[in-house]
Amino acid sequence: MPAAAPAPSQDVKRKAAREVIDILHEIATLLNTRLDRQQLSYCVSLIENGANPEALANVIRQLREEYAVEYVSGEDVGAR
Amino acid sequence: MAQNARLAALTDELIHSILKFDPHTNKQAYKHAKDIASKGLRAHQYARTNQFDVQSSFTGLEEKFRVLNRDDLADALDVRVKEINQRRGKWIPEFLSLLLQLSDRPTENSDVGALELLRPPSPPPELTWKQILEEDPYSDEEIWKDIDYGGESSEDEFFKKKQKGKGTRATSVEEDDTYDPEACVVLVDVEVMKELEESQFWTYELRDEEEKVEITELQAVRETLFMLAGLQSSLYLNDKQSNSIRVNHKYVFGHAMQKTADHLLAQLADIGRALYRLRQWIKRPSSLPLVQTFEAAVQKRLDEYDRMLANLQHLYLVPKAPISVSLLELHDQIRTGSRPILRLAQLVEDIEPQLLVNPFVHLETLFDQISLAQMTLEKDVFDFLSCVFFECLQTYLKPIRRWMESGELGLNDETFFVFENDSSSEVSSLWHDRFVLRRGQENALRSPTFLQPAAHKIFNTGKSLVFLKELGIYGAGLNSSEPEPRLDHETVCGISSEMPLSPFPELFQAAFQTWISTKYSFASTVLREHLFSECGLMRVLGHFKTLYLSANGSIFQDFADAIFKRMDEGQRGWNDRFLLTELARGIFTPALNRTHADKIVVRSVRSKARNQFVKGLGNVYIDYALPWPIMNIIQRSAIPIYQQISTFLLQTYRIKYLVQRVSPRSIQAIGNTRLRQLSYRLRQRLIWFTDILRSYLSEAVIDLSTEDMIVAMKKADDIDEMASIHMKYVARLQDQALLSENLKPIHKAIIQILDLGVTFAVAHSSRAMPTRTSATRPALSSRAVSSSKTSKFSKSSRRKSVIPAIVEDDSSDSDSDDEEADEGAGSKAPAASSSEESVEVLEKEFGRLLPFVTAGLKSVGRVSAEPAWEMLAERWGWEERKGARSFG
Repeated sequence: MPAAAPAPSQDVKRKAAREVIDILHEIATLLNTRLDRQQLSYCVSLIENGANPEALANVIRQLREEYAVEYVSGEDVGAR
Repeated sequence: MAQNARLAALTDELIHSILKFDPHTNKQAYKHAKDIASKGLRAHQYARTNQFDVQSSFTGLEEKFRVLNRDDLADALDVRVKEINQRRGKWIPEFLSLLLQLSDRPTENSDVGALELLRPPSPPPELTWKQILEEDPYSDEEIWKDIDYGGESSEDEFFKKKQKGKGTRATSVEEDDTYDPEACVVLVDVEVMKELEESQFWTYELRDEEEKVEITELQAVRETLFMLAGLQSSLYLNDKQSNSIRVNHKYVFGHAMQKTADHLLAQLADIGRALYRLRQWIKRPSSLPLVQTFEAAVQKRLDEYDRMLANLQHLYLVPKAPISVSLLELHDQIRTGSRPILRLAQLVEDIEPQLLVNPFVHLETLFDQISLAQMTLEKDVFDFLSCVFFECLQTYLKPIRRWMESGELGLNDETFFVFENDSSSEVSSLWHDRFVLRRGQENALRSPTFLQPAAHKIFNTGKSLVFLKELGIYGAGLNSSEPEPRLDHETVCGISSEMPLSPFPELFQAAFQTWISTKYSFASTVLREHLFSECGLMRVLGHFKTLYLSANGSIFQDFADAIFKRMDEGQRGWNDRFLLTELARGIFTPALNRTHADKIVVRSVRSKARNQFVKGLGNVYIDYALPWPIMNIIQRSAIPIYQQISTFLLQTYRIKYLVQRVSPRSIQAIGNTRLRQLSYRLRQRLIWFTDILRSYLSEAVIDLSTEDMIVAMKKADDIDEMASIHMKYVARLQDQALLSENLKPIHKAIIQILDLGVTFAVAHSSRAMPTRTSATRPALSSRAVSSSKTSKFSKSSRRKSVIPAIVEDDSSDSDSDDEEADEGAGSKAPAASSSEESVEVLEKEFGRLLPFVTAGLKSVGRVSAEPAWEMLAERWGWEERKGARSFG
C-alpha cells in the first residue's frame, strides 16, 4: 500500500478514526440499524481484519433473531 | 493466525455486546452463539463490496426518503455520506455496505432528533482565574471602612445591591427592576429606512424650477387612486378657487415620454375633478327632506365607488397573482367603473343651481337621464340611476301616501302639489274650493313632470277622503286590506340582466298607476255609493226636473194656474212668499214626498215697478234646499239656469192661458167681420206658436238632455265627473232653450211675440166688455187707465217686462219701461174703433217677428250644428213654406 503521507501522529490518527466512527454511528442511527457505538466499533474492527460485511450482517441478524427478546426487553431469558 | 485470533477475540466481544448477558450464567447459549458467529464469518462465498453500488444505493435511498416526504432524513444522510466520502479509508465502502444491510425500515423509524443525543455534551468551560477574580475580587475597599451602625436601613441595602448588580443606567428612580425600557427600543434597520426615504418622492427638494423628479409607475398608480378617493396627493394639485384638479408637472416617468404621460394623467385628472366637485357638493347641507334624501343617495354611491378604488389598491398592495403595474390599465378600469358615477356628477352639476327653486328638479332630471340611458343601452348607468331615483322617490311619496290614505296635509309643505286653500270654506263647496292644486309659473303644476298624469287622481283621492271624513263615515275598516305595492327598481324594471324592453316612462307609469289604484279605488267607491244611496243624487235630480222643468205636466200646470189666478186677482200681496211657498208645497206634494216638498221655498223679489203680471213672473223664484254633499255636485251657479228655464216655461204657459181665455164665442160676438177674422187668425196663430214652443222646450230640449245626463251620471266615477256632467247638462239646457247670450236677439223676439199675446188678450177683453169693473178685468188694464202719459207701443218695453232679472243691463230701463208698458196697454183701452187697427198692427208684428225668429234660428242652427233649432225653425216656418196668404 503506497504511503499517502508521512506517518501522521498517533493523536491525529486516533482523532480521524474517532471522527469516522462518529459519522458512521450517525449514519447507522439514521438508517435505524440499532447498533450502538460499542457494537459499531467492534464491527469496524472485524471488517478491518478481513471479515466480510455481508457475512457479518447475517451473523448479527441471526444472533438478534435468536436472542432478540433479551435485546428488546433487557430480561434474562435463560432457557434459550 | 494472529488474524484469526484477533477475529475470534473481536467476535467474542461483539457477541457479548449484542447478547448482553453474562457468558458464565448461560454457557450453552453463549456457545451456540459463538458457533453461529464463527460459521458465518468463515464463509467465503461473498463477493467483494462494490463501492459504486454502495454509493448508488445511498443515492437511491436518499431519493426514496425525499419521495416519502422525509426530507429531514434525506438531508441528514446526504450530509454525512458526503462527509464520509471525503475521508480516505480502505474499508469505508465495507462499513457503508454493512450499515446498509443492517438498516431496518429507516423511513418509519428513524428520528433525526436522535442525532442530537449522540453528541457528547460539551465539557464545561474551564475555569480560569480571570473569571474567578471578576466574581470575587481580591480586595474590597469597603471592608476597611468604619461601620455605620445605625444609619443604614434594609431598604438602602437592597437599593445598593441592585445598583451594583445592574450596571450603569441613565435614571436611578426606576422602581420596577424587572422591566428594562431599553428592551422596548427596537434597533432600526438603517437599510430599510433609507429605502423608505427614497421612495417618498415628494420630499425631494428641488434646486430650481425646471428640474423634474422621477417617479415610478407604481407610485403614480397610488397617487391616482388617492386623488380619486378625494384625498390629498402630490401628483395632482387641488385648486380650490376653480374647484378643479390639475396635474403637477414636476413629476415625470423615467420610462415614458412626458407628453404621453401628461395626457394620460390629464384624463385621470378630469375624472378626478368631476368627483371632487361632487364631494364638495355633498358637504353642503340642505334643509329640504327631498334634497337630503338625494344627497344621502349620492353619498352612498360615492362610498361604493371608494370601495371599488380600495379594491383596486388591494390588487396592487397584496397581489394574489403576479400583476403588472400599468397606469394605462388602471385608467381603463377606472374609466369603465366610473361611468355611472360620472353621469351622476354631471347631473348634479347641471341641476345644482336649480335645486333651491325647484326642489324636485333632481327627480325630473334623473327620470330623463334614465330614459336616455335606456335608449343608448347603457345598462350599468341605467341600473345605477334607476336605483338612485327610486330611493329619492320614496321620500317624495310620503306626503302623497299620507294624503291618499287619510286626506291630511303636512303644515307648510311646499313641495307637495296639493294645498289647502281655504280651510274654513263651507262644506257645500268642499270639493271644489277647499283644496287646490299648487301651480307655479305658467300655470304648470308644481310637481315632477312624470307624476302629472296621475296628479288628478291623487288629488281626488285625498278630497274623497276629506269628504268622507266630513260625512262622518271615515274610520276603521275603510282602509284597504291589500299591502301597498313596492315602488323600486326591482319591481318596476325587473331583475333580469337584460335591459327592459318597454320604455322606462311607460313602466313607471304603469307601476305608479297600480300603486295609486290600491288607494284610490276604495275611497272613491265608498263615496260614490254613499252619494247615490244616502243622499239620493238621482232622486234630487228627479225633483229638480219636476220642479223646474215640468216633468209632471199636470202638476206644473196646476202650479202655473194657481200663480196666474193669484196674479189676476190683482191683490197687492199676490206674490207674498210665504203664501206662495205654501201654495207650491201643496201642489208639489203628490210628486215629491211630503218631507221633500217641505224643502221647497219660493221667494219673490220686490220690484220697484208697480205690479205688471208678466214681470211678476220673472220675479218669482223657486228654491229647493239641497243637502251639502249634493251641493258639491249641483252647484249654486246651476240653480239660476234652472230658474230661467222654469220662468220661460211659465211664460209660455201664461200666454196660452191668457189667449185661451179669449174664447171663440167672444170673438164671434164681435160685429166687425174683419176684426172678427183677424181675431180668429191671431188667436189661432198665437196658440199654435206657444204650443210649438212648449213642446220644443219639454221634449226636444229637456227630455233628451236629461236622459243623457242621467245615463252619464250613473256611470260617473267620482265627484269631479259628476259635477262636470251636471254643468254640461245645465249649459246645454240653457243653450238649447235659447237662453244663452248669443241667442239673445232671438229670445227677445220670442218674448215679443209672447207679449203680443198679452196685448191681444188684454185688448180683446177690454174691447169685448168695456163696462167690466176693475175687479174682474185684468190688473194690467186698470193700471193702464190710471196712467196719463201716452206713448206708442214699443217692443222694447214689453220685452223688458217679461225677461227675468238675470239680464242685468235691462234693469236700468225698468222704470221708464213700466210707464211705457202702462201706456202701451192703456192706449188700447179707450178707442174701440182703433181695435181693428190694433189687431192689424198685432198681426203685422207677428208676421214680422216670426220670420225673423225662424230665419235667425235657421242660420244659428246651421252655424253651430244644432239640429234642434233647425227643427224648431222648420216647425214655425210652415206658413212661409206654404206661402203666406193674408186675410182680409
